[in-house]
Amino acid sequence: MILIVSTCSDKLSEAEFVEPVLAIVSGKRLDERVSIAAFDSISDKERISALAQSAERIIICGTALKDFEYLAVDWSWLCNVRVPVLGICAGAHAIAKSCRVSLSEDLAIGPCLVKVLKENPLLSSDSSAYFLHQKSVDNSDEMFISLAFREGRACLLKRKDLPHYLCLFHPEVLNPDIVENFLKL
Amino acid sequence: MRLAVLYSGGKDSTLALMRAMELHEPVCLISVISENPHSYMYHTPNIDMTALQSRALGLPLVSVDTKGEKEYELEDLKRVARLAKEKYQIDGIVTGAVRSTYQASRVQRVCHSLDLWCFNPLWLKDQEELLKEVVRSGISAIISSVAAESLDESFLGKRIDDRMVARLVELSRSKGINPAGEGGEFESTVLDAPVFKKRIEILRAKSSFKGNSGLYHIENARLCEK
Repeated sequence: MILIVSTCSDKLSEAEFVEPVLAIVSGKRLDERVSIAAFDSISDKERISALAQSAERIIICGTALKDFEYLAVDWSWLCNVRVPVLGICAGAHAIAKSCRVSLSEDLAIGPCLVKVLKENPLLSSDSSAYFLHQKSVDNSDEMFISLAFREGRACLLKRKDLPHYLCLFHPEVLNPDIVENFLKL
Repeated sequence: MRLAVLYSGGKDSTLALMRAMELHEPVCLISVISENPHSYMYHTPNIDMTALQSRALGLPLVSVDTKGEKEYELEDLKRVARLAKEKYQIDGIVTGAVRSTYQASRVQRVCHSLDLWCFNPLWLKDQEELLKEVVRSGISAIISSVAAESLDESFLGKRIDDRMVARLVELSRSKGINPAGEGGEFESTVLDAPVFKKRIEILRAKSSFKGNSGLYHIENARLCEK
């Protein structure tokens, strides 16, 4: 089962941040079932942990620029998830939180060039990507491997010990191949 | 949430308004009236119809005029959004943006600068599905301009119904046009929708066509009971 997790505290944002990711996943016509966890599910740690246990891959979607309710959620359940996880923007922040890594202020809106630093299975070459965030992941403790950069800041990272990918831009907009490559992991 | 809808009077912004109404309270429409028919940001054919559409919807309209110069268009949007915030205490803005990162990122910047939420409920939707959804939702829209080789004068003023959808989908497959007009192939004007309290009747309109582009200009229209 592929679990798609919403970080949208407002239902209206799901059309913008969850449905496009779902469309990419559904378009791949995989044999695996797709399940969606709404925001009220992630606020219930036991419920989301149980869902995550039966997932083979997890995608945590982004949310509106002004939405920070997901930061008040307990993401510690993610810490020991061993299957591949792709965190998109707010989802990347969630992975960082699960590792107790702090976030730093960094406003980015619109398309920007992403430069690949390290070979990785998600993004093979430099590409334009769509950004919409107010915070980046502070990787000064090098908790994550930095895979790609935007203007000197890491925007695609991976946990050193687990296949958890942090994508600080929205691949569903200009880089759907990132989601497709993730599904092949 | 109290929301303003960035309203062009076309099918997409009307559908976005309907989606927003399912979950929130749209309290006003906002429009930027561009003098530039080639505006990067704003829909221009029959944009003056938004005043009549706001009356049909029973929602006030906040509008500003712009010369339509590329980077100043953002300041104009900011001006109208600020006006709506002051007058109607809005918490956010809804747009009918579908694919343009140029438009979407500019609206996001304006919303951020004014501490407003930004919602794009049609974002990245499949274009063919979106067009069908417009008809399924009961939106009655006509084609108000065309700008593509495969769209001739005969499209102007025509209603977007199941037959027109089939025609546009066929052209998207044979000629590669975007079936929802997202590439500027055509623009639309909404005359009625389930959320309209009154419908719009066109009393006088004029078509003009030159080269590969044409305009169906509504010169006079009125509100009618439904």
